[in-house]
Amino acid sequence: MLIVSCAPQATSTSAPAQPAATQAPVATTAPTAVPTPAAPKVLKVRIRGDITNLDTANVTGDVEDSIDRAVMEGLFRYDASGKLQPQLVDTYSVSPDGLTISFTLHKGVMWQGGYGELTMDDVKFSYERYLATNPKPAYADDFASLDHVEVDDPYTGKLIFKQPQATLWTSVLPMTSGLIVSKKFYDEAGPDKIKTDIIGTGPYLFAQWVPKQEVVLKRNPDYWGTQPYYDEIDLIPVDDDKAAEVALQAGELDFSGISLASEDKFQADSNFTVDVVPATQYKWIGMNVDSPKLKDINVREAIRYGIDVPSILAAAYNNKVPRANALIQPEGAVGYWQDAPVYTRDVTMAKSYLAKAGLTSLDLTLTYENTDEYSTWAQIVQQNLKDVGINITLNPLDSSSFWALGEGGKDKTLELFELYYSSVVPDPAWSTQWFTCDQVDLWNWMRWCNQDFDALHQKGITTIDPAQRAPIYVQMQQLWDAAVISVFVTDQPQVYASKAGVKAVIYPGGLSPMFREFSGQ
Amino acid sequence: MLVYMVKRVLMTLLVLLLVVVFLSLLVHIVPGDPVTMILGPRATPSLIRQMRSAMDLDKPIYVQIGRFLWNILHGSLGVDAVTGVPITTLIDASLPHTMILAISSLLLSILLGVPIGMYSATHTNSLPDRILSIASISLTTIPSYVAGLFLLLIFAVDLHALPAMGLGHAGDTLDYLKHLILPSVALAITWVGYLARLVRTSLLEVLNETYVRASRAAGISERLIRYRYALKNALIPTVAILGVGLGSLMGGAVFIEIIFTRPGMGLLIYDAIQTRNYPLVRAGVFVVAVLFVLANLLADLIYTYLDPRIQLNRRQS
Amino acid sequence: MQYVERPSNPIQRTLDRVPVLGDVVRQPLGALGFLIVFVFFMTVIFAPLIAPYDYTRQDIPNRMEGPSVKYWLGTDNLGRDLFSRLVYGSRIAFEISLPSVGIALTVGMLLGLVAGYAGGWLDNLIVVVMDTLQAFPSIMLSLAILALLGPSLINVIIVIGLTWMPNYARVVRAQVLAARETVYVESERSLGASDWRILLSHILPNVIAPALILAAMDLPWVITFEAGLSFLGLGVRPPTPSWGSILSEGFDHIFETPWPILWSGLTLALTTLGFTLFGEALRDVLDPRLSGTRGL
Repeated sequence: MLIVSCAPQATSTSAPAQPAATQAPVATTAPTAVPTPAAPKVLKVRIRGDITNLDTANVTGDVEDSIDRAVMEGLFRYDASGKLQPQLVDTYSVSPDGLTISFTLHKGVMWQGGYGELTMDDVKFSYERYLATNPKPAYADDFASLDHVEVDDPYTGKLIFKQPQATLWTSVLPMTSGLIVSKKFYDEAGPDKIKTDIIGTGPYLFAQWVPKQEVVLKRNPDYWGTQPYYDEIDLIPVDDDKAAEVALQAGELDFSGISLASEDKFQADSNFTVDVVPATQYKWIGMNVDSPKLKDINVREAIRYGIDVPSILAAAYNNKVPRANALIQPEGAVGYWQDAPVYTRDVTMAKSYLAKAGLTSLDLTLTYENTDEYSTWAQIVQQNLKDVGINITLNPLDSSSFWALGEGGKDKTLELFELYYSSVVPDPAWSTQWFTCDQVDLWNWMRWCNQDFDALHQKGITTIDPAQRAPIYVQMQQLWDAAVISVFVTDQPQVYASKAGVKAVIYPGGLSPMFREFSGQ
Repeated sequence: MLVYMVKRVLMTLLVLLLVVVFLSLLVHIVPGDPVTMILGPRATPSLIRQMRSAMDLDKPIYVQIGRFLWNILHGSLGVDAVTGVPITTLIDASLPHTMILAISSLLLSILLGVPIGMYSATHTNSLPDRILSIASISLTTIPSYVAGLFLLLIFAVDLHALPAMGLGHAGDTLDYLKHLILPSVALAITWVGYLARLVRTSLLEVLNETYVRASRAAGISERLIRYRYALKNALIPTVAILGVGLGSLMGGAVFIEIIFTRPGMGLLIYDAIQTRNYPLVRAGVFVVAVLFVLANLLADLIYTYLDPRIQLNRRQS
Repeated sequence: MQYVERPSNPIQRTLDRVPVLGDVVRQPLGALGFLIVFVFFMTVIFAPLIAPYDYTRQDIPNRMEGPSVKYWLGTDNLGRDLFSRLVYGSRIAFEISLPSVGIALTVGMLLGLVAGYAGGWLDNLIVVVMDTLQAFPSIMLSLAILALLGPSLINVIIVIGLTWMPNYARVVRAQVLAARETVYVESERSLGASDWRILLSHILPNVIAPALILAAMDLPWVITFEAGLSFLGLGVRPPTPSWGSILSEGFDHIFETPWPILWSGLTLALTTLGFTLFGEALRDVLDPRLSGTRGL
C-alpha cells in the first residue's frame, strides 16, 4: 500500500493559525502510571508493512511516521486530543508578518545513545536539509518557503521564511517533517544507516529491528518529559488485513488497523474496541484530457453519467464509506465543498452526451493498481459503461508499474484510470498540489492544466486565516467540477481495533497511531 | 567417475553464471522502480535518479554483472535498495524459515509417503492398496495453494485451532512449531502422494527383479528380502527425488509464505519483485538458484554413488 | 523433473493398439479419468448452454451469497454467479494449457532433437541454457517475466511455454541419444543416409510418443500453474473467470464467504485428478514401461 504523508486532521478544523505565544510544554492528558516493578507492559501492534525509510525528509509512510514520532520530537507536536502544543521549545513568538518564528529550546534535553545535548545546531541541520537540491528530498515541499534557520546561541534561534505558508502549523512543524534529528548522529551514520536506525529525544528508543519480523520500541529511561504508559511496543509487520484480524482474535496482537468489511464483527465482540477515524485518502476515477478519445467534454460527461458510484461503494466497501463528491475531504475540513454536485447514474443522459460527441460507441482502457479493491471498481465501471456503449478494456498493473506512470510523462498514454492520494493531516493545499500545471508529466495524470486553478493554489498556501482559505478551495473545486475530468468515489476512513483495555490514540489524519499517548488498564 | 563429477561441478558453475547474466538482463527491462513505488507522488526526479544510480542501473550491464560477481567473491550480496541494509542480513533472517518449512514438509512426506508406498507394494491389489492408491493420486493433484487455503479456512478461520500468520513469538520454540504445522502440511500434501506412488512402483519393480527372485529361491527369508534388498534399491529413486524435492518445495513455498504470511525467501523475493527492489531480487533469486542447483548436484552425485549402473552422462533436473 | 528414459519403440505399440481409448477405459481409474476429462471438454464446448448466466453479469445486492436455487453455487463479491464463472473458467483453462503445452512441446522437441543429434558444442550450449532456465523455481521465473510483460492471456501462455520447455528438450535429447546408438541408425549412416533423413525417419518416431505422453500428463499441471499465477494476480485480466482468479478473489473475502475458494479449489483439484488419471492410463496402455516415472 502506498501512503503519501502530508498533513490534516481528523475531527475538526483545529489548525491553529495563531498559536498562543510563550507556553511551557503542556503535560499530556494521558494517564501516566508510575512504573512498577511488575512485569513490563508490552503492547503488540501490527504495522502494515516492514519499515523501509525512517529518515524524516524521505519518510516512506504512516508506519515510519508513527515510529519517528515516538522516538523523535519536534519543536511542536499534536497532543492526544489533536491540539497543537509546544514540545522542544520553551518559549516562542511569531512576527506580525508571520515570516519569523523566534524560540528558545528547552535546556538539558539529551539525545538517546549518548549523542549529547540537543542544541540549535541540530534544529538548523534538521530543517535546512529540506533545502537540498541533489537529491531533492521527498518532503522538500514542506519547507518550500523556508529561507534559513538562524542560530543566536545554543538554545535560541529563529526560523526565517520567504513567504507565509499555511501548511506550516498544520502538517509540517507538528508532524514528521518538523522532527529534530541529531546532526552528530546523521553525520556519523551516513545516508544508508539512517533509513533503518534512528535516535531522538523522545520517550521511546528504537531498540531493535528484525527485518520482516519486528520492530521493538523500548521506553527511554532518561526521557526528559512525561514517561509513556507502555514499557515496550512490538511492531509486527503484517501486510494483509485478514491475517492481522486472525492474529488479533488469537491474541497475537493488541492493536491493528482492520478492514472495513470486518468492522461489524469486531464491534460486536466485547473483547475489542473499534475506532473509525476519518482519514484523508481520496480516491477517484480520472480521465486524461490529453487523450484524443477524451478531448471532447461530452465524452467525459457521458462517462461521468455512466458510472454508478453507489455500486462501487457497495461492492468494494460494503457501503461502509462515505461517498466523495469533490477533492477536499473529509466533511468539515477547511475547503470542504458542502454543495458539491452529486452525479447519479443516468444511462439515457450519458448516451445523449455520447451522441453529442458524434459517437455511438467508444473503446477505452481503464488502468488501475492490481488489488482487490481497485479491481472491483474496475469491473463495475466496465459493466456500467457497457450500457452506455463504451467498451472498457481493463489494464491492471502491479503496484510498481502503476506508480512508475508518474515518471517522465509515462501517464500520457492513459485514458481512464483509478487513482488515490493521501495526506496525513487534511490541509487542503496538500490535496490540490498534485493538480497544477507543473505537475503535468508527473502526478497530474488527468493532465488538466488551468491557470486560474494554479493561481488559487498559490493564494491558498500563502493565506493563513482558515476563514479566508475555505472559499479559495471551494472555487478551485468548482473549476475542477466544470472541467469534467473525474468521478470521485470516496475518502476512506481508517478502522482500528484494540484489545479491550487498550486506549489507542491516532494522529490527526487518521493514518498513524500516536504511540506515546497509548495507555491501558 | 571423477572426471564426471568435475565436469558436473563446472557445468553447475557455468549455469550459475548464466543465471546472474539472465537476472541482470531481466532487471534492466522491467518497468518501475522502488522510489515511485514507495513514495508515489512524493518521488522527486532527483531521488529517482539517485536510486537508479545506487542500484547500478545507470551503468552498462557488464559492469552490473561484474560488480555483482565481485561482491559475491567478497561474501557480499550487495545492499537492499530501499532500506540500505546488507542483503545478507535479510537473507539470514529469511532463508532459515524457508529451509525449515521445506525440510519439515519433506520429512512429513517421507514419514507418511514411504510407509504408505511400502504397504501398498507389499499388499498389491488388496482393498487398502486400491484405496491408498486413489488417495495418493488425489493428493498429488492438489495444488499447494489450494491445500493452504483450505487448511487456513478450516483450522484458522473456522475452528480457530491453529495460528494462521507468521512465525510465532520470537524465541518460543513450541509456538514456532505450532505456526509451522499448517504451512508444512499444505506444502507436503502433494509430496506425500507422490512419494507413496514412487515408492510403491519402484519397490514392485525391484521385487520382480531377478536377483530378488534368486535370493528367494535361495531360501532367504521373505522379510529380509523385502527390507534389506528391495527397500534399499527402491529408495534410490526416492533419494534422487529429494534433491529435486527440496528445490521444488522452495518454489512452492512462495504461495505458502504468502498465504500464511511467513517471512521466508519466497515472500522476500515476491515482495522484492513487487517493489522493484532489483538488488534484492537478483541476490534472492540467485541464492535460491544456487540452493536449487546444489541440491540437484548433490542428489545426482548421491545417485551416481548409490547406483553405479546408471549412465554417467545421465541428466535429471 | 524425473524422467527415466529407456529404449523403446512406442510408435509400433501405438499402431498395434489403435483402439487405445478402449484399453484406457477398461481400467477403472482410467474410466474415471476419462469421464472427468470428457465432462471437462463438454463444458468447454457447450459452456454458453450450460451456464445459466453470463459470467460478467453482476447482481450487487446479492453479492457473496451461499448456494441457492437462483445461484446454484452462490455468488462472488460482485454478485456474479459462481457456477457460470466456473463453467466459463474451463474455457480459460483449455485456452491456456493447450497452446502453452504446445509451445513447450514444439520448441522443446526441436531443441532436444538438435542437441541430441548434433552433439558437440551445440549440445552443450543447449543443455546449459536449459539448465539455467531450470535453475529457477518455475514460479519465480514466471513472476519475474510477467512483471516485465504485464499480465495477459498471451503472456501467460508464453511464460508457461518457456518454463515447461526445458523438460521436453531434456526428454527428447535423451531419447535421441538412445536412438542414435541403435543398430538401424548406425547401419543407415554407414550406408550414407543424410542427417535429415535419419532424424526424420528413424529418430523422430522414437521420440514423439514419450514427448506426447509427457505433454498429456503436463496438461493438468499447466492448468494449476496458470491458476497459481492468477492467484498471485499475474494471470489473465478480469473479468476473465480463470479458476485461479476466482480462488484469489475468494481469498480476498475469506472471512465473508468460503464458497468461491471451496468451489474453485474443488474444481481445480478434480480436473487435475481427471487429467492425471486419464494420462496415466493412457501412458500405461501406450508404453507400460514408463509407468510410475512421472515427476512433479
